[in-house]
Amino acid sequence: MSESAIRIHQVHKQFGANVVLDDVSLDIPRGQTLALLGRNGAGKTTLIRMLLGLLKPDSGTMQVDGCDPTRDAIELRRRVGYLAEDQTMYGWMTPIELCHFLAPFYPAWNQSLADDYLERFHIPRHQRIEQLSKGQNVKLGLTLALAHEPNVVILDDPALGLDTIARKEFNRDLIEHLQAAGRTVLFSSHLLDEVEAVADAVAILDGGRIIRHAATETLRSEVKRIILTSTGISEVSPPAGLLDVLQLDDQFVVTVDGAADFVEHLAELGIDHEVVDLSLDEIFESFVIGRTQGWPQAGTPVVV
Amino acid sequence: MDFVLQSLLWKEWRERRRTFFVCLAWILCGAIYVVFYESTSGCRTPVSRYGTVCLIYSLCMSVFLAMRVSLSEVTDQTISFSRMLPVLLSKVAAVRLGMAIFALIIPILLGALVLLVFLASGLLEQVPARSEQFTSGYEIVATPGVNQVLRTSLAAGGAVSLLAKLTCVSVVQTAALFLVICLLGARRRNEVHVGFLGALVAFVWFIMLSVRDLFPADSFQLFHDYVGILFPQSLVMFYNYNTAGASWHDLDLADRVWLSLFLNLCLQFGLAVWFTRLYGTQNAVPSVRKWHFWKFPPLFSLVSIPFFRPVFSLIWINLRQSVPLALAGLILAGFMAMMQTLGSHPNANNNWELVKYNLPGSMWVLGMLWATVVGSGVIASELTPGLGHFWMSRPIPIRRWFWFKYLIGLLAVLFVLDGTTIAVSWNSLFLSPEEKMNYGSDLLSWSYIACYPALHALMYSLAVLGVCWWKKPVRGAVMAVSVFFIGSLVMESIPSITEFDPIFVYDNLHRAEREGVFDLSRFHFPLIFGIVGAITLLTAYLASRKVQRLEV
Repeated sequence: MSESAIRIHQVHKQFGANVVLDDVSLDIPRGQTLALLGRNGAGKTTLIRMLLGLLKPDSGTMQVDGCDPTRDAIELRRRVGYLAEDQTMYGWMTPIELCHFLAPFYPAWNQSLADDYLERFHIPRHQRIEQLSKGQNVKLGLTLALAHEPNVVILDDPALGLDTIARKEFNRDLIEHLQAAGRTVLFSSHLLDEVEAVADAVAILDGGRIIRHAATETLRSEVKRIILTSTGISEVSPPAGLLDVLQLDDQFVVTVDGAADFVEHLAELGIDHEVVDLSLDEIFESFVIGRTQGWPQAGTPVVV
Repeated sequence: MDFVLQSLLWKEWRERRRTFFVCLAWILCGAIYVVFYESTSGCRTPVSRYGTVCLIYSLCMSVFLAMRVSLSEVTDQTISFSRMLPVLLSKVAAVRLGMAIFALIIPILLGALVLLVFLASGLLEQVPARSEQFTSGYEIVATPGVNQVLRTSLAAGGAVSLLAKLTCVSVVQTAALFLVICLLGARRRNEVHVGFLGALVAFVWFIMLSVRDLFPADSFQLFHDYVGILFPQSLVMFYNYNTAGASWHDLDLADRVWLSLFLNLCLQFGLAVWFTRLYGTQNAVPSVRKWHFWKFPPLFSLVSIPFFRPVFSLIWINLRQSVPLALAGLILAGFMAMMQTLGSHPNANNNWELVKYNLPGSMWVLGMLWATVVGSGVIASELTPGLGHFWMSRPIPIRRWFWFKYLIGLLAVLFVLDGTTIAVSWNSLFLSPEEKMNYGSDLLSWSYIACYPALHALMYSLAVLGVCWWKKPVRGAVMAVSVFFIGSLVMESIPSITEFDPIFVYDNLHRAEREGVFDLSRFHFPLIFGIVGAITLLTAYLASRKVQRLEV
């Protein structure tokens, strides 16, 4: 389990003056499902394209399933399963024609498995792809990504544009067919409440940098919301992992990464507080749009 | 003018001004070519030459502009924004239509103005149009060694009047073609589909140029006189003539030009209103349509089996993409040949044989244009962001992808268009000179076999390069056609290099062959067609380089 399926080391990429990825490093162990979270334009798709060898990093190194994407892009694509966001396929082909067309490019292609997925996902084999529904298109994309039984699967916001039920159905399929098979999955998404059920680990990408990378449970146990009174907060200094401060009437709601130490410190000082668990969505929000300027300065009276 | 209209006009002008300047440059270059060629060759046919320039311009630019006008808001996804504006969508459509027609026809009028100056000042001369008195275009230019009475040039007023009439026909037929394609495109969802549909309509439009010939005045008087209401391009027919030193066109004007033009304008008004009603009413997502019954069931899918090697996969996909496109061109050429046969031999018993023998005559020009359609069609769809990303993220080396696509597309052009033409009319190669005289001048010849497949390959290759460069199918095809025809026009207008024009080389070889001498070492054939081959290879190489930049 300790061997990395995907290793990204100090990768930097910029387009003109726009720095898209800055010193990004990430290790994904074999068998792990990692959710790559980030806002639009955070650099998720750029990172995924570089992992597939479709873009070249300006500096840094990458390895995916033992292949260097900059040198062995074709070999890498043979081994990796990939589903793009809003994937477009040949509209004039039928699903079975597309499978037959792609089969010889993948040495490990398993046609009976592809047939099995088409059957299980209820994809009509002889209907033109342009006539399939959005959900059927995504599932066909998943079939193509899995039919060669890859060790590593990269999914770039695959459920984008699906309705709520279709997304839930897709996530069920994902758990059933990917995690059960012990594959390594890199999964980029905006839909955090759904990622929560699937991801073993989370990496948050913001402004071109990985600002947090941890196991999902670790993240949920380390990042907490603490509610303090206005007098209580004025007696304590801001903690090291402060992510967000929000004033609501005479209460302060602070979000802290590494909350255990802060809570212990509050208890030592005898300051009244309440600890609230956060969803992944709220944790992500705190990391990405959290504001810490609202912490009252020492000696400054708090105006309510 | 109300502010809403002012805003809409401003927006449309900003969107169309680049196209307008391209149109203007095209027509002004054409007018300069006409002045230059006529001054040096002395053919005395500037008006008809300008008419042919306008005809080619209208066939290309109408398609391009109609694509943009009918669907650019759908493909750029701004139609929902336009729908939300507090103005009727039909008004938006009317402004779009108006500005596009302005961009399309104002250059024709400005070009005519340039020519008018030269005609009015007597610097250029124009002979009268074909009539019962003047039945052959050979009466226009003196042929060495032939003693004949030449047509007298028109006075300045007469020449200007002829120019005005021909310019009006050009303007009306351009607008009519544009409106027809706009209307066909208004309910579609893909600009490329409109482009191909437009190309098809433009070919039919071109064929209909000679529709009056199909209905002789003595048998179909009414239709002969008024067919111009439906097909205003047929109000002027051009007859092409050439000698070793020059080429020119004779004009055949219909009798009731003004009435036909007026009635056609009334029809155009109806089409324009219809377009404004249809504009923006298509759904963003294709729905199950009641007309789907005509679509063939996916028969290939039912018999599909897995391929065992990537090579077979690539051959299969490229055959599926390029052969149907090439077949459409063959059918169109067959249709052209049939029209030509019916026009020239309406009562012949051996019509099928005549169609087969007329096929090379249709294919040489249509093949030039259709090779660009195949070239741009096979490459363009796979360079769109969505599909491009799909296949590039598969383990398919780009170099292999490109060369398979290029070569199979090229073979489709050469086998389906030229191969079939040659096979079908092979017997005509062995006809006796007397029999050949009976069938006309467009029979298959060894010169055709030596020259036209190479020129079709060149056009295909230019279109592939254009599409790989711009990733826009129509722009790629227009670039290929423009490069070839502008190059050809430039060579034609400079007498010292005319003989190096590939079409001129073919004409010379063909003329010599008809006189019984077929020798490919003559008329600069090895040099010129060596260069044609080299350019074909070079453009393919440049296209492959351009595509490979997509890869790391």
